[in-house]
Amino acid sequence: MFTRFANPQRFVGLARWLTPVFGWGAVIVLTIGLWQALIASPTEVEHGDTVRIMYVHVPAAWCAMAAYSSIALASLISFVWRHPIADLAARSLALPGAAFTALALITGSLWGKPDWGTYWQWDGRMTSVLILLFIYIGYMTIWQVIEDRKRASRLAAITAMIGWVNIPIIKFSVEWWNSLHQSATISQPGAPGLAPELLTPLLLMAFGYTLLLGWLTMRGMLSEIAQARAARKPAPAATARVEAL
Amino acid sequence: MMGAILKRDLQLAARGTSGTGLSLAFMALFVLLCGLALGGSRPDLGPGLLWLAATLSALLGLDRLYQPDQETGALAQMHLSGASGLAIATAKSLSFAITGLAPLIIATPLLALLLGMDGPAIIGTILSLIIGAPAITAYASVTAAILAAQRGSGVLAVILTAPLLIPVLIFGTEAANTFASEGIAAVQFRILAGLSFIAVALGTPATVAALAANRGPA
Amino acid sequence: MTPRYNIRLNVQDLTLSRGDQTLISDLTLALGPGQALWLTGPNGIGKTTLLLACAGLLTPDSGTAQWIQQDSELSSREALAYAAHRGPERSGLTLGEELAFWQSLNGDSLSLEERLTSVGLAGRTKTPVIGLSAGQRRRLSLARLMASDRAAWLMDEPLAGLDTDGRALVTSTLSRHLTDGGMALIASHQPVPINGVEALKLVLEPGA
Repeated sequence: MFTRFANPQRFVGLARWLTPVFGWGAVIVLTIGLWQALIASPTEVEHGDTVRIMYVHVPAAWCAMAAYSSIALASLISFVWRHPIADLAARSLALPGAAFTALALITGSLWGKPDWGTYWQWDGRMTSVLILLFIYIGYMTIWQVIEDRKRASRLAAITAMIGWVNIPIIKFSVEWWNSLHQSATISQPGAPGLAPELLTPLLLMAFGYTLLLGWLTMRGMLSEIAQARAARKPAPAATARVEAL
Repeated sequence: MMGAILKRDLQLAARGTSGTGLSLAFMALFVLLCGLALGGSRPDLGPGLLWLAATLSALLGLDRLYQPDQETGALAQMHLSGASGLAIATAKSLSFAITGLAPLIIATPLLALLLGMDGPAIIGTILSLIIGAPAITAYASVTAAILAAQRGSGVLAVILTAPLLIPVLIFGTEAANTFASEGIAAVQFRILAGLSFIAVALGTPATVAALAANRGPA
Repeated sequence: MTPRYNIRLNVQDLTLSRGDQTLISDLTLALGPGQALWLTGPNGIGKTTLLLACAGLLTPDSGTAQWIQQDSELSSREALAYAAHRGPERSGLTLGEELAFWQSLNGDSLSLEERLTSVGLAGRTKTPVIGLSAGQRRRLSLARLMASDRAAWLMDEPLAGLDTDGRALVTSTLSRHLTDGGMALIASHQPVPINGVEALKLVLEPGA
């Protein structure tokens, strides 16, 4: 499977089939998930109706992290084995990943207002997600500024891997810092005691987000392949002739 | 090998092409502006401000680390002349530490006076900067190597490096803050040293890889 | 007397591109000790790209360029020295510091003064590299090649900016290097006269 899909042609065959599955899957699962999350599920004792933000927020944060880890993994594969599809995957995951990171931050902040009384809390988790957004921005900028495609893919891969190794260190540092500088927060929003009726919509939403991430990434990869094809000029290579002088 | 490359860099720095003076001026200006914006002497914020000033000023000069030698092809020539990537990365990192970072650390006590800091706080800040210097150097070197072929990438260099330096910044300032009460044995100093160690272990191979990826036509 | 160098270059099915443009496809050629190859062709045809690929500084799309010494393969960095069209001869150092650096990297057997004298730059140790003329830069670049003690010399426009004396210097230096069993790949718009050695010409022309 690994070497089999090193060939973009084969990959396109698979992606043509898989992309709509992801796309429609995301529509269906997210519809059910949202209905469950926003209408069918009960309100939570401690948080009231604001708990519903959780169903949008928590899976977004999960996906943001999962997307970055996937970028790091794909970068490793691209760096070590020069696997062209891994390279494409890493590149195409970045924008959706950054979008999920931003979504996690915005929804987190909206959830923070009623629960914490403030839009921003220097809480370890939230601060780390904001830093993750900057890591995404740096990674995407590398792709943008380096014109030579091969070079960009290697340098972006190095950037992604270094960033990934650093994320746990950053998280540890920020949490440590937070424990020194913040008085204990009133209530730590996060997954509240997960009753099954809360867990089901949460997992549905997470699954839906993952499908959405997959769909966006696949579309990105397909359009990259199409662009690369359009850009490749039929080669009027030079003719070479050796003569004695 | 390494010695020759380092010597060349120091010679270039002595000619004033390494931007040490500019970084120093920026650092001093930054502290001056902080003082003005925050209402004069702020000894409580001193270590944090000095850490910020030193890191940002050091990162400003990043595009002088590999970029000129990449552009003229000197890096490729060093490679062809038999210099290993490790020798180049080490020599350049040392040169950055000596010409880019050391002058800033030396200027720290003077700027600390500007912020009204007392003796222990100043010593704590200097010590924490020295212990954190390998980490700053290592990540600076990675970013500079990644952007070696990019002209005018100063801001991008800061954006790429800063997230990696957040742990160093956090533990560096905390170490400086606790120095007065707990001395050099404070756990913050030990964690800071650990961070420096990780950064060098991670940054060196990454720098070598980035230089290899950037080899070839400018 | 056995020649000083013994080097062969085997280029096999080499395909090179710049961006999305294929420049050279499936080039095969072989060079032996004492041979020079003169690369000619219009601007942008891929002369420099070919030199870079032979120098191992550029990964070809496909194919190989192998350096062989006494039946064993040599890495490009052991085999050759490369004088770029616009090389590192633009640093903020003085001529002496710059050349001394490359000498120490390559373990040159001559002293700085001797090396400078050999390219007609004697007594200019203190001149800043920035202040050198194009021709003087070429001479410095030539000095760097000579200091490298590598069997193969890759030269990009070695005659650009040189006066009559300079051209004669390149000719005599190259001829000596080739009679020592060395090899040279020279990309140049003007013919590089070389005495008493076998030279080949690689003509690159726009494809149909």
